[in-house]
Amino acid sequence: MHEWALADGIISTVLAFAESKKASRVSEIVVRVGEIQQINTETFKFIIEEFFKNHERLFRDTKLRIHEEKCTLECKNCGHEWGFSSVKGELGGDDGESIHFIPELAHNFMRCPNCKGPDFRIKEGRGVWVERIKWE
Amino acid sequence: MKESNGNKPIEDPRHSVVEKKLGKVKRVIAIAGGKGGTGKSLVAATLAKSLSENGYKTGLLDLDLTGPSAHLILGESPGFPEEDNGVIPANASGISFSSIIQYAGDSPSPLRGGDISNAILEILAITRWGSLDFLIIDMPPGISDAMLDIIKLVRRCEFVMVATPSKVVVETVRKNILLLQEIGVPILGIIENMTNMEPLNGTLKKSGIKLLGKVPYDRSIETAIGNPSRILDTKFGQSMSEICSMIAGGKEK
Repeated sequence: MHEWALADGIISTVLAFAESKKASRVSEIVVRVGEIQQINTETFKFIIEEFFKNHERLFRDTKLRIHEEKCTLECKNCGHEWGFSSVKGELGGDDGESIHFIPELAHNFMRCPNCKGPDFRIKEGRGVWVERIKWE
Repeated sequence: MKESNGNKPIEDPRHSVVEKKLGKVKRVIAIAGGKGGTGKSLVAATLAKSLSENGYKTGLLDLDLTGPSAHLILGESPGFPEEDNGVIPANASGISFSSIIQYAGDSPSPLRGGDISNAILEILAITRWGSLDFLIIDMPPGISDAMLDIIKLVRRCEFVMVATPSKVVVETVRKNILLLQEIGVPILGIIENMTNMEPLNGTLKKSGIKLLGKVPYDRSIETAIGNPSRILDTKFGQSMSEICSMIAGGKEK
């Protein structure tokens, strides 16, 4: 799964942050996952915790919280806003899979529900990022 | 106990893994140029094939996200990539190959600049190239998002500029070279493509960049598109083989 690559990015980011702060332990990590990524948060949590095992001292008893951010899209042509969840069901299986890999491919497989145009932006709910870290 | 500011992301985690994903790639070479239609994709795909034929482990990344064509030159239409702790490039004629068409199929990709940057970063962060001697990047024309992203994300990337003798092309390639020189990005040289036209004028020679080779306009090339072995047998392919030796020369396999 390419979620392993995304989890690797999360861990690398936390390790660099911990090193810059000379942290001896990371007590809590809050990760935000954009809805358009279509990532199962439980699976993602499991994968990140697998990476913890390579750094047992730093990640002892670390609380990992993963939250999903709802995805909204905004049409640059007519200004209409809509939620990814409202149109997700209309995507073909492969189309959804493509967006799962590269969210920008929403432009290939979705259109503005109002004006039917392809010129929209992913306003919120794209990407995977570390929102907060607590450390000692 | 200390806590980071939760109002903004700490860092885009993709940045931290791009170099790691390219860690076992010895050289990264971007095939670029100011204008479309100068033969960048043909040069990139043929160079990759030629390197591969010479025993180098070679990858080809098509970063022309809105106009991908390297797959047409290779005669390959790979589908979704295999997943294994990331995504694994397809095997196309012995070349490790990645293109947006693996995800987008034959649908158009109407992407603005920010979307292109995001997609490039995503592709670089999730693609596991493994051990390669060369990764050739087929760049889109111009000095906008894709070029700036590659310069920023792959700091050791070397550039090869493709120009034709057309005044229109020479002027844009000159600006392209000027920019790369200003920021200290290595340029391996210029490939003068379609030389049956007027000779390349002195404008690019003044840049001091090495001329890697002159590649003749070859009418037979169009019929060889889709068959990389046949491309190597054309006059174009033979010229590219010589350029391949210059680029690879002296480097250990």
